[in-house]
Amino acid sequence: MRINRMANPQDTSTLVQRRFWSLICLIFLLAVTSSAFAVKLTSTPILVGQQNEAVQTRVATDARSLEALLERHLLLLEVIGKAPDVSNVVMGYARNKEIVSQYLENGHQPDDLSWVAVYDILGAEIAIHAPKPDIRALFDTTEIEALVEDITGMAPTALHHVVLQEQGAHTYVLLTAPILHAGYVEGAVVATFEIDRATVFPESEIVQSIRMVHTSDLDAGHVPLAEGAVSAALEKVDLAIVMEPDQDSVRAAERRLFTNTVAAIATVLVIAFAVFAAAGRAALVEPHQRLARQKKDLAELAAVAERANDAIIVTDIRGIVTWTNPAFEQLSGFTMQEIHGQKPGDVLQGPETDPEHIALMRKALLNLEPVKLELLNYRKDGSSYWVSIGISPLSNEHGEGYGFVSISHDITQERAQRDAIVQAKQEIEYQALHDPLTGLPNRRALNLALQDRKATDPDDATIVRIDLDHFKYVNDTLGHEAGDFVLCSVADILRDETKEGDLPVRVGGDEFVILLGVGNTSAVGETVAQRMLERIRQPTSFEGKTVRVGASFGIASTHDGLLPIDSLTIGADAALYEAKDMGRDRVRLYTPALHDTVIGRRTLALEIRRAIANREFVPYFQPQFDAQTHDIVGVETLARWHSPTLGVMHPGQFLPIAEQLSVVDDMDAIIFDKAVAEISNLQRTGITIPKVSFNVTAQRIQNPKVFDLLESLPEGAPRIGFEVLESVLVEEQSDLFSFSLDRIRDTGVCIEIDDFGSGHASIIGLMHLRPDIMKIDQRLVMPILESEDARALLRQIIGMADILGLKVTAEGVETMAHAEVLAEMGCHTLQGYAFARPQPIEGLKALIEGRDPSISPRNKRA
Amino acid sequence: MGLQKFLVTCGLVLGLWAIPAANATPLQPPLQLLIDADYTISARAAQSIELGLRTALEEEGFELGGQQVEVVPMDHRANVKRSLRTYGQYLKSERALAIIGGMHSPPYLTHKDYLNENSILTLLPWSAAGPITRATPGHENWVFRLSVDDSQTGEFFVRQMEQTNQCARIALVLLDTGWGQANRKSLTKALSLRDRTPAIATFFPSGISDTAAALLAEDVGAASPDCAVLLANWNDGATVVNALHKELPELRIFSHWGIMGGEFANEVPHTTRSDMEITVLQTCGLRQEAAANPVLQSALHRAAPTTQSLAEIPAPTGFVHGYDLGRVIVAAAKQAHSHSHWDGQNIETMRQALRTALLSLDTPVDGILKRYAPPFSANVAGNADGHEALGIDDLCLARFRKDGRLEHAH
Repeated sequence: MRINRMANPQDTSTLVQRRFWSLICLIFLLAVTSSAFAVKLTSTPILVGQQNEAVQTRVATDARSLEALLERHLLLLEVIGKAPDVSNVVMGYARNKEIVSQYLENGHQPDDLSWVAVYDILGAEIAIHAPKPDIRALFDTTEIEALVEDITGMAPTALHHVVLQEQGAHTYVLLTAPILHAGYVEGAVVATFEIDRATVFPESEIVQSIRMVHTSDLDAGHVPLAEGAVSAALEKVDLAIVMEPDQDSVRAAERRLFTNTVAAIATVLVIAFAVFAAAGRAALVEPHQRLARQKKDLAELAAVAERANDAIIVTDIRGIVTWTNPAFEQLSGFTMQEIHGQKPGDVLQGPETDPEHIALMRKALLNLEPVKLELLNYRKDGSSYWVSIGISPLSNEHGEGYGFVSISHDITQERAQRDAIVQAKQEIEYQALHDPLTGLPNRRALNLALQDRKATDPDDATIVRIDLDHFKYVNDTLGHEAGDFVLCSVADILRDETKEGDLPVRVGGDEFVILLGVGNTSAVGETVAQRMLERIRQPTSFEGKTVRVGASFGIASTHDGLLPIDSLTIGADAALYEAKDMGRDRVRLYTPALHDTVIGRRTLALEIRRAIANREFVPYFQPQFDAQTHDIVGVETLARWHSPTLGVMHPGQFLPIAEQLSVVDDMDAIIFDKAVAEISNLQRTGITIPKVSFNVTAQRIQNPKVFDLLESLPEGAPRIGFEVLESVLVEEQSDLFSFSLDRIRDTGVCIEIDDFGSGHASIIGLMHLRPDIMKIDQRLVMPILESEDARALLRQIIGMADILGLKVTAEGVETMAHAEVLAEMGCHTLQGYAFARPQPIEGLKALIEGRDPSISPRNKRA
Repeated sequence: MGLQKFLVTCGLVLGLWAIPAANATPLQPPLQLLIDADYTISARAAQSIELGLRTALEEEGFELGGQQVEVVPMDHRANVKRSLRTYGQYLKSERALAIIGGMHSPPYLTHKDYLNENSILTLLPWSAAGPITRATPGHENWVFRLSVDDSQTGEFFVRQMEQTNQCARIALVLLDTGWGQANRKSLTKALSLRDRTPAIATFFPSGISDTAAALLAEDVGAASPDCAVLLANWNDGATVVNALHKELPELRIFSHWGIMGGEFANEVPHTTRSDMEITVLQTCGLRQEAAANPVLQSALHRAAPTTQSLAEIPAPTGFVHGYDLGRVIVAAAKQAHSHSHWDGQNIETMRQALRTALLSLDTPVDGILKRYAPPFSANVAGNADGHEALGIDDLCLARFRKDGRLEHAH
């Protein structure tokens, strides 16, 4: 390809533009000049004609104006002429001429009336009224007499004769009207009116002078007329208007009109040429500029292509190489001469080049469409390399394709890096969604799958929940490796027993879930679960040792119409817990009955929340008695729920749900507040309760608010005892627990170990907590009457307490026989139905006051 | 017979008669009798007067005391000023013997003093205004009348209304001219003699419009009259009567004879004339006709041989009065001719001679209306009616026939 240095397109464009605008201006000037010349030639006669027409119109208008004025005056005179008072005198019927004079004076007198007189048929003046008497002198008597004689001798409809007089700038016209009697002229009314020339003949620049003449004189040629003068005769009055146009004004108007016309034409031409110039610029100059720019761009492109780092190949329309750049030679090893005349594909593509890529490329080239793809090419030395290649068809200004250009660059390294990143990403994603031990999908994968299912088939989901039985035992006895082995074995079973579309998941620890594929019901799930249970039950061998585990299965399905997909996991959990409750190693479905139980729990949960808000929990007090004296030494506070809908509820009925709801602390706080208040009130009545004990959880002990509460108890408040379950003492061995317990003890609270003997507390552990009282579990107390072993065990416990300096309280003292035995064995305090049941404060008060002697232990004993 | 046809016939008759006279060669131009009348608006009256006058002159071969005479129509078109011009011409003329008046009174009423001061011999066959023939004291009276005298019509109307119509409330509807004013006086005087006053006395201008007539009728209607005396020219009279008929259809009208001499009967429908029982003041020509007066028959025969009755002549009053006045003039000229002053040369002396003869006519003159014996006498104190040829006893009432002509009202 030869690359020529192009002339500067900017210079060419400027030149073209300059020529274009010069031509436009020249044509514009020619157009304006020729238009002006044409206007001058054609318009002058028209203008002159229009001017004459304007003068004609003007003179006609003025004539009509004058005639209208004179007709008004004549009408006034005719009215006078028809007045009976006037005609009576004129006819000679009445001799008093004053009547006429008065009539004239009292009648309507326009401002321009100079004088008015009435004449009889003989031409004698009957009466005159002269507001401007001087004006009458302007008229010869003979003129007036002639006028009167004229009108009294002619028909009244003939042309009105008038007399004109001018005095300076004032013009007066003498008018006459007949006095009629029975339709005949019997006299004349004569009057002179001043013509207000300014009103009748308004000033006009086209008029030099205007004057009134008699029509008869004008017709007879007695009126000298200037050149161009125009006249108009009045129809009913012997008067005509002669108007002489102002020639200078006419010429000035011509010039003005000419100038305005040429200016208007020039304006129109400016607009027209502006439009033409804009269109011409778009049609001529801009394409030229575009061409120049294209040439320049092409030259620059050629230079760029020569120097480009990307490999460029240009082919003809058949795909035969016509040009390559040096970068291509560097990349492929082929010189331009070597590849010239060949098809690039024949030279560059080899055995591992993806045939699909080649087909894609060919299809685009056949359709003359651009294509961009990544392609494996081969160098001259046979080594392969990846390129990102873009191939575009080349077309001329008519849109006809004449070749292709391909631009490519080496992406071998980039592609390797990209593959590595993709692989790493896939790894990370796999790990995020899978359990590393078993390789099963994890809880996150399950959640995503449930979301997808909810989006696609929300009413078609079945979940199988699996919990291994005794897995902790395997871990504890055979070690974690054995546990991991079991988990992997179970995972394999899950994989084996599930079909494509099912999703086996390890959700944590020994818990697994299978989300069955679409279309599977709970019955299918049960079948699968039974199959898996059979296999999981089978003993396996790990490092020569037999390993046995079982599994509990809970199944819930949306097909059963009990739960939506969102609650399916909860339903499966409920079924699983039922399976566990029923003895484990079995499969349970989420049935309608179970559903009712869950709903019941849920209702109870709602009631509990409401009860807490309404503080419906009430303290019941069970007294504790000195074993020897049977004096009340304290009370244990027990919670009761006075529900307005469910009645009085015992802790066993609501505490499990309350624990699930994590509201036990709140309930304890209510009971504590009420109990302290009630016992305090009782003390104010003179009844003293030495100690009030509360059952507390480890959480409550660690709740700083409890400490603050104890601190804030008023002076004289009863002594507080906290009963902590032995199991709690065993499980909670944290520093915070120990710290909190110490702080509470420091406030004077008595620490009691509740249900001692039911757990697995070690004596050493108990000693660390430094309890004050040991409450022996009632299961150890109750059999003492029948069992020597029980008595012996109890005796050992009491002895141990003595050694530790603890006081012992026996719970579950059912009968006084128990009480006596226990007292003999050294128990310090007794609590049980033998003495008193838990009761509200009123019952406690009544008990203490001896109002109910039937329950008094003394009386009983007696 | 139409007016035009009638006049043509009259013209032929008079023209044929005049041929011999025209062939004579008189020394002087004929004397002239100037008829100062309205030949335009009230042409019938003027022409009727002229016909009567010519008929009487014709009987004498158009000679007055041996002097040829001609009748010269002078149209004043109801304009007093034109009459004045005629007077001027009369005074300048050497052949104008006398002025024969028309039906209008104003020209003579207005210029009575002028006439008398300038010795203008004026003979009135129709004008009825009372004062005309009563010269201002100190003036020689040159005005004679053979017609109704309004100074007597008042009494006549009131007498007629009392006798025949039993009118309780009388309205006076009068033309606003001196003539009308004079009639108001005479009528009011006649009523006052009977201790009565007019229910209303109202005037209207000459040339009254329909609207003004309607307003006038409302005014009259407000007075609730049962009879009215109307004084008007025929044209104004027709307008006023039509308006009154709309307002007061049962009002009985006694009209002065001013409504004659024109198209009154054509302008006022017969139903209106009948409803309002319009009667018109007349001299008693119709009564004479009814009485088969031979003078009348002769005159009619001479004037219009084809006519059957006086009513066929338009404005017959003018004919009757013109004829009778003509006969009086002829008689007076004959008497003057016997004196030396009737020389045919000095017109002034001839005028004086004729006047003197009129005042002292020796022989009775037989006219249509009556025998004038004598017609006039000197207008001296105690003889206010000396220049009146007719008196109250010569007055009659006429009524309209369906065809518009008059008939004697019995």
